Parts: sequence; C-alpha cells; structure tokens
Amino acid sequence: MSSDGSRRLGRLLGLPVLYASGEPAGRVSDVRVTAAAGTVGYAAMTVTGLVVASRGSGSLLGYDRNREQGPWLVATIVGLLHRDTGYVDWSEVAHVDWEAGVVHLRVDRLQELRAP
Amino acid sequence: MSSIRTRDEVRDARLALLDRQIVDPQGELLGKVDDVELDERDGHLVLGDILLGPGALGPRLDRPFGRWMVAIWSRLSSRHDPGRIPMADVVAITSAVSVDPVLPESGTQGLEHWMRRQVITRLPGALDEQ
Repeated sequence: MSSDGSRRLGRLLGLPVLYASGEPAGRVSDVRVTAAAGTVGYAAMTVTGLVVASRGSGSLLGYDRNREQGPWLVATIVGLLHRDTGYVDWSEVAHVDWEAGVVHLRVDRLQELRAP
Repeated sequence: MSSIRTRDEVRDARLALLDRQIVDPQGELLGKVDDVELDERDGHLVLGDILLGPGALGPRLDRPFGRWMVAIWSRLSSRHDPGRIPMADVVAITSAVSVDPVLPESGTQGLEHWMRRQVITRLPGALDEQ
C-alpha cells in the first residue's frame, strides 16, 4: 500500500490491475467497502475488495453486480459485456503503486463478481 | 438516529457514493459527492472525507479540462483544497447521501459567484428590469 496519508477514490478507479504473473487483469471498476457489524454510522467504511473489469465495459448502473435483476434482455447484454468482469478481495491485493498508477495482485485469477 | 448494525453493510463505493446528491435533514441540497478521500489506517484503506466542488471533480475529468477547472476554481476561491464532509457525518446512503446538519466548508462558491456575476447576470432576461 502507499505510505503517505490519503488518496482519492477517483484516483483508484480506472487504474490498471496486474495479476501476480504480470498479465493484465483489467481495470478498477469499483471499490467495495464494508461497515462491519456492531458499528454505527459510516466513519469506518473499510475497503474490502475491488471490482475489476475489462477496459471500457463501464459500470452499467449496477446491472453488472446482480445479473439476475431486470429484464432478461438487459441481463444477457450485460452478461456479454461483462464476461471478463470479476472481483478481487483486498487481501489478494499485493500493492497499489499510486505513483505509477498500477494495482498489483497476489493471485492469477479473479473471483466471480457477486452483488454486495 | 443511526442504530448499531447487526450485520456487515457492504457497498460499492463508486455506485453508492460518487456523483450522488448530498442533502441535510431539512432536504437542502449541499452539493454532489465529487470524490472521496481514502485514508490509510492500520494497513487498511478507509473512506475518509467526502470531497465536493470543482477542486475534487476536476482531477476525475479528462486532463486538460479537469486541470483548467481546478485552476480557475483555485484562483477564484483562493483555495487549494476542495470542500469536505467527514464520513462520520453521513447518516444514510440511499439514492442520496444524507448528512447531519453540519454545513460543509464549501469550496464551490468562488466559481459559482464568478459565473453568476460574469456570465449569468449578463444574459438577456437574467435581471428584472424595473
């Protein structure tokens, strides 16, 4: 992780993601955050994972997170556009190089993306 | 107002927060979520302050236009940091982001005032002519 104070969500979004092998996995499409059970409010929303998508596939208003929602035609189109979209747990992120603008993973494959 | 969570609340930050309207308890519109700071705490990244105004939006836009926006805003508002609202002041995240009745230290006003003075009020019909 970076060593200096704070970064921005907008900076992390869109960064290229590389597998441990050095092969490209895609780009950061979204950042999954979690407020743990037993807490109150939103002061401790911790980053718990990244949604990684192939370049240019966009977010598509959340249909990519839950492919069972909406009309089947939408689900089919979104499924095709996002067939390479996946999820990586934050524990599988080896390093975010903020200066170079690259996310390095410890793994060589993405998990299936599920709705939060 | 908020209660203790009985289970984890998981959100996708871009989808749930970015570009959402910020409202206070009276329904007043305070601005949009233009970016969110990421703080490092104990080796974890945590959502820090909500950032709003051209100083936060500019870096998210295409480089020439974004830089121009930030430069103009900074010049007109004599600021170098965007307005911010701590995530601790957020009470609900729905289709909008509801915050406690704290007025954000808005960084948008310099550009807005300049636009109103130099552009909007000069448009035909902008002022009531008695």
